[in-house]
Amino acid sequence: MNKYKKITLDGLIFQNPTFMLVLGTCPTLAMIKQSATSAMGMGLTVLVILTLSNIIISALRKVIPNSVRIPCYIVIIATLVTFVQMLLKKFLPELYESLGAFLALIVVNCIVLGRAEAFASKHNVGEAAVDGIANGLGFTIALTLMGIICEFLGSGSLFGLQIMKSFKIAIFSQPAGAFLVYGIAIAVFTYVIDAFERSRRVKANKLARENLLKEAV
Amino acid sequence: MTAKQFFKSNVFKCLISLLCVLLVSGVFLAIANGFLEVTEEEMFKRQFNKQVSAVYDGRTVTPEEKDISGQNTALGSSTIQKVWLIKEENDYLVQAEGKGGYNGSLTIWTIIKMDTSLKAITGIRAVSIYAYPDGELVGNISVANLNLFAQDYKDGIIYNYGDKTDPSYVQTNSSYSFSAICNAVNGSIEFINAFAGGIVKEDPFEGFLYRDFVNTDKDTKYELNADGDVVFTVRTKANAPAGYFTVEIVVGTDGLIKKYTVKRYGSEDSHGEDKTEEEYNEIVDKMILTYMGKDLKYFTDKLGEDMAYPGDNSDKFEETGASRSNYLCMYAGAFATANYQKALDKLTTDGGETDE
Repeated sequence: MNKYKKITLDGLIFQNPTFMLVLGTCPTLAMIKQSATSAMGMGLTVLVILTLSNIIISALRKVIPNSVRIPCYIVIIATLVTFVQMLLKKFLPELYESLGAFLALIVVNCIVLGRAEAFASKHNVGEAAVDGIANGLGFTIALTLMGIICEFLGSGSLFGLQIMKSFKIAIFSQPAGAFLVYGIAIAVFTYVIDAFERSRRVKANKLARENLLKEAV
Repeated sequence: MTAKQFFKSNVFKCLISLLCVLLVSGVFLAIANGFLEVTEEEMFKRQFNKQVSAVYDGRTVTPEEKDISGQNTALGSSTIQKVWLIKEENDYLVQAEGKGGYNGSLTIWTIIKMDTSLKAITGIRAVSIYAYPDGELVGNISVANLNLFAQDYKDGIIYNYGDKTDPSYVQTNSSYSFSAICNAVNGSIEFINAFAGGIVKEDPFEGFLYRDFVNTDKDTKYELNADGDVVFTVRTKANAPAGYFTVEIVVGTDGLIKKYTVKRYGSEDSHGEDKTEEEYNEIVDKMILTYMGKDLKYFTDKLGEDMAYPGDNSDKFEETGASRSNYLCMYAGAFATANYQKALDKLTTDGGETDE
């Protein structure tokens, strides 16, 4: 498989940071219970920061000594987060307000530092950028989906548009409901991926047996 | 290691790398801040267009800033920062800081409706959050929560939506922030009443000592009894897990405590986990017996002149088994004995009972 395709699929599906690696749980639970818009906003913000941090860290990977790599990565990530904060405050104040304290907490988001350490520091800039975009998209899609579910069940609306006026299950606007949705989403996602992997293995085994038979004949 | 060896070593490379990263980051952020900084004027315009213009359905309004320099802007739980007159609508826009937020004070805008003479408040048009400290979870306070303030004015109304002990309490998951908002709104109303209407709210506790250690905003009052003693009803603050107490303290003409009765125990709200509510109350009842016949000096000897809460791990902390409750009750005792003469002067001048 083309390496960029593999990196993309890993970030989006097979190593999805939210459903498979269960990283970045704190902003996930905080944003999905607020609204789908906040969840998507958080996801896109992390995507930008993750991509930029991956690119910069990959570019500097041969310059930064191994012993101080973690402090350097943290400074770079913190700088990017501060910069994005300034941008949001200037141009998107509503998103800035809805993200609140969780915007600054992206500095210590496991996904960002984890991908920097596990991938960006060991691959070239192109691959690191693709990895950042893929993981960021995977995070965004996961949060948006769960945000949609929580917002619809919690307040009967979607992205702020009221769909069903009298329909509200209050727990889904609370942390407990967010936990429930998150847990169920992980279970469903893992089941689907396992089923897909199983069918792929069955197909591969079948193909291998057919090839063996052909050779024997 | 020689200097030459040091400059060639890995340690030096690490230091230089880290310093370079820090320097470049710092310079980058400084430049970015120069371009992206949101000035006070920009913030005001943005907030005004978003929050205030929306209230007026897109009608053009021009805020005219009023001079409040000679006014009393420090109002207990709030501080008035700025006032604008929106002449087209007969409204005042008040920017006030409400104390008691989770991480500090919140800055709130309150649009107050006035009658045509601009002297009497007729209602509140809208309330919005202008600024708040980092870490404040204002995302939990919805537009619907803020719309609770938008109503016709009821004389003497005090908003307590963030107070869990008040019947009007509204669940938001950000009670401290909501209390700060209420403080700002209440302060705005009080200020406009004085500024525009000339109605100055009399403070029965003006000049009283140790006000910060009790709750003079609610239930606290004093009156003269038939024997010429001053009877203080004091609502203390809470000191979690101890909730607030309401106590009645009779201070005699000699300035000593004649009677100390607990009307409401703090354990009603919550208490520690090692004893039952009854056990805590029993300890409190035993403690307050020690206050009988005491004056202010007894409390200042125990608490210090500044009355600062020493903290559970301090050497000065007095462990009684219901220690936090003990401190709350001592604060009330200090308040009563310290202000006996002032209360007596006010009562004999004004006549009768004075309360909040």
